[in-house]
Amino acid sequence: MRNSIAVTLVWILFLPAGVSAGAQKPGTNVNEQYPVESVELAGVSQTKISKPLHEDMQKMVGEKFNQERANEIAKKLRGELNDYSVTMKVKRGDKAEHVKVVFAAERTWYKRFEAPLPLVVYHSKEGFSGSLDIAIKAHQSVFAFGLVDTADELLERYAGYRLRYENRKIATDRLQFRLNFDSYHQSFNAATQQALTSAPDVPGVYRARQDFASSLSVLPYRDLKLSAGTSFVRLQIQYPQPHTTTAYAGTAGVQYRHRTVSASGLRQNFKFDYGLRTATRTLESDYVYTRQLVSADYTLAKRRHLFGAHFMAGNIAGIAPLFERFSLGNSFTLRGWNKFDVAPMGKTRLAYGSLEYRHRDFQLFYDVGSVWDKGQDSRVRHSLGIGFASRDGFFASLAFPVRLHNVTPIFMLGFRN
Amino acid sequence: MTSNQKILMMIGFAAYACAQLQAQPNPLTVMRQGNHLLITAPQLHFLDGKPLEQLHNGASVTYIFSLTLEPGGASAFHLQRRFIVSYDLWEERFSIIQAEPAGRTASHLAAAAAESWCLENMQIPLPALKPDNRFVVRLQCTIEDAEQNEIGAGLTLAGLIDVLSRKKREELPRWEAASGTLRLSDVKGKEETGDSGQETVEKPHPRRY
Repeated sequence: MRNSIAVTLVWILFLPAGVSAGAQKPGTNVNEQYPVESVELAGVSQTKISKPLHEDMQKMVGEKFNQERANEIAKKLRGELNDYSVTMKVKRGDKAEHVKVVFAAERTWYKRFEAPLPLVVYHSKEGFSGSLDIAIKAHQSVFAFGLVDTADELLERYAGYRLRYENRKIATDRLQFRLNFDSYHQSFNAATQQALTSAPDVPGVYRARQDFASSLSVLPYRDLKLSAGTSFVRLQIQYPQPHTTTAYAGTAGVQYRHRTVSASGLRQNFKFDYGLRTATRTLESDYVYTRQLVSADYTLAKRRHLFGAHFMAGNIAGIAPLFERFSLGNSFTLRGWNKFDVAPMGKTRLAYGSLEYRHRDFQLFYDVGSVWDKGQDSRVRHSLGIGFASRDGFFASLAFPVRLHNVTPIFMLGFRN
Repeated sequence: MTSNQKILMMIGFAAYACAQLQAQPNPLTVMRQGNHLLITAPQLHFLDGKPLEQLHNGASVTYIFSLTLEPGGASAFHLQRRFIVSYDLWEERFSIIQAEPAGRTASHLAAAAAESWCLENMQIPLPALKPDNRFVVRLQCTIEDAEQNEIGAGLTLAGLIDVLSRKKREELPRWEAASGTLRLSDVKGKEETGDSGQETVEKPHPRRY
């Protein structure tokens, strides 16, 4: 009995194609008597869709219009053009008694600002890191639940869950609202704990971190997003006695995305991000600091060649908790260096640059960067690497620190979406 | 009561009267032809608005008609028909297929003729009525929800979540017409006008497309 209930539930939930209720029968549209003169995809470049789908579309040309088939193609287009809405229109053709089929795609802007999240990364110094996010999209709202266990991003390894609610259209699609709740448990590398013993002015480790953040974003035009919000972080500190400290901050951000494709096939992609967090007594924060981070990425591609330049700079004024401090030497910055060798408890200044060249999936890169504290000399470090980076997100890299001794390569492997 | 209050009250009454008028169904005329009652509703225009826009974009739209006969408030007779309407982009004429029960088709129809054709196929058999009973004929029309069908076609977890969490969809258009209270003996026979216009109504099949 229990098995049959389970089977029924599975059938209900995962049956890929159930009974078609009221599906359009062939031959019910009077325009099906007319041959298709042309099939057009408007509002988006043909290069955005797969070759088989493009071929399917073109197969309609010369044949009599078939609404059912056209509906199927529209459905496939919606599947491939994730950040577009697709509608179909049939128009009179230029030739008598012929029709044109137009699939009109309209970009839903907000998706270009979604941050890519690492799924699984193996780093030979840090071990495995991973995250799994399940998002449920319902019209303009997104509800997401994620599980995280990562040592790649910050000085700490943190594991826990995150919840997100996002409304991408508050009256207009130029106004968006977002709520986040993250809850993590931390563990710190021995090198970090050791370094902290000799730096009393740097805040200590904590065993749990919770963040409740909200933000309101405006998209004055399609490439630009401006955000402002709040972030209420609570840290559970175990030593010398258990207590909670807070980092309650106001946040602001600017994101710019611009893509161009020239007639000669030259593809340019430019991204710019600026983020500001300022924790203040006004919000009853225990920590008082201002953290600014700016990053820019530029890629230039033609056919199988891609050149990329990446830049990042950051500054912290005041006393910020460990999760805010800058570090270099992970799977995406200063590859080849171990972040616990570079700065085990992070620093308050950051400058970083990277150049890469790709031919097909083969990749060569050069990273350079430094982290330091105000009033201290900065030591610039370099690294070189080779790797494989496929379009679908898989990457494998071997990176070497540029120095005269102890040149130990670091191996990285994983998926990023 | 001050003059301002009187004016406000009059505006309120006027607004209420307008709203009531707006909510009134279109008038529906009933005629007798042979063993059937025929209905007409010249003021009922369902080839209009968004569905018409869809038709002009080359898509077909399924209309669902529901006709009820209400003696003494309780529904005694119910008839439902589905008509698939499409718009010939070259001839600029409407074409209709009766989908439920399947069979009759019509083509080369202007908008008014297409609307009339649908109503002509909503006939009430006389045996459904008792000669002395009073009755009201009520007609409702809506369109088939294509979006709903798409969800039904792929009954998946994502689809269910979408259905359960989606924002209230734009309401489907709905049209209504109703007759006054009638008795069979009051219903007049249909006058033969002989006016078939330019439209040609094809008797059951063959379909030409």
